[in-house]
Amino acid sequence: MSKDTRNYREELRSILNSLADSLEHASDEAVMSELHESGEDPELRAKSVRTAFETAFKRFKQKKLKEAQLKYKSSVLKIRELEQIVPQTIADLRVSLAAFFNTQPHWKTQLLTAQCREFKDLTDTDIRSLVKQLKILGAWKDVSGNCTENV
Amino acid sequence: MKKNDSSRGGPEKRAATLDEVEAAYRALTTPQLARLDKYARGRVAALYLEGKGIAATDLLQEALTETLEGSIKNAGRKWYKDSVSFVGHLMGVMKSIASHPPKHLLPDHAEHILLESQVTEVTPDGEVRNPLLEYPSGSPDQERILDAKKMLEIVEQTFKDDAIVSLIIDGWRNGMSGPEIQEQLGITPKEFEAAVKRLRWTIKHKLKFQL
Repeated sequence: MSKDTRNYREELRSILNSLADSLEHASDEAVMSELHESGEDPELRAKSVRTAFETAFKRFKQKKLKEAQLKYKSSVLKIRELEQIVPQTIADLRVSLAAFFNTQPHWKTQLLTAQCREFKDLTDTDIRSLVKQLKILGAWKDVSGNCTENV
Repeated sequence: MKKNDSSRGGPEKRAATLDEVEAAYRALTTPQLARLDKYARGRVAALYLEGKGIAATDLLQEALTETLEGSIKNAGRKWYKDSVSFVGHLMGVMKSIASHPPKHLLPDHAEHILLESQVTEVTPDGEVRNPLLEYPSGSPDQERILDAKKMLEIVEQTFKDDAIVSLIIDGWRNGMSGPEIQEQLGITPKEFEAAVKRLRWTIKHKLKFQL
């Protein structure tokens, strides 16, 4: 008895895939006439695809919106965290920073060298920026006794 | 070398933006949408034989979503609108997705749900028949193989006197493309299209695939 070696599934799969491929070059007229001949309404088919696309687009936009909202929330939290280091007056902050540099001089060397300035020449903006940088680096500690949190 | 030249020396291809993709899918005409639908159904029919029961709608939506993703970041599928039409692009994406369907498109036990509806046949006498019932077996995989055998026999029987369709099927089995088959058989694109239409009708109406 001869053994059946044909791969029926693969053969049928190849026919189905080739039938689909043939649509890549089929004319609009051929597609429409085929549908009409089978008694189908092309408009109904088109409508179902349109709806499917609209749903996919809506889902995509909602996903992006959710991602943007999460990103925004995370940014807001970060900003609030940084804002907490701003003291009531810049003079207090200047005192706090001077005290910090006295206890941890290596930070003074690193940060001020990078900015090529002496502490006394720092502007108010520089002071705020330095404290924010130290906060981001996780190094900031108010050693002056001034309250620099929740202001 | 100019800044916008690719490594091959040609102009760099520009991927469509989100707005362009949105405008393109909204501008699709009825024949284009119907063609995409038929294409998706064809791909899904072939997937069924592998036991991967995904829905044509899911395939269409996945193709658009991938293209939307590709328009805003370095992920998904980019549509190079100067190289390929939007319909051609979506077909290419569907083909690629169908060759390796992502897990989220493969619902559990989907193949068993599709099995009955895809296989049930109506005989010329109007009798509803399910070939699977004639080949009882233990595993769904075995069922699909026997199912495929039965379906091929129906196709071969239907076209035993239709030389063009039989030769087209032979050509496809041997990995030939449509234009190659047309050249080999010396038939016009119209004759080829008409033969393919006869075959599609048979697959749809006798094998009950929703093409």
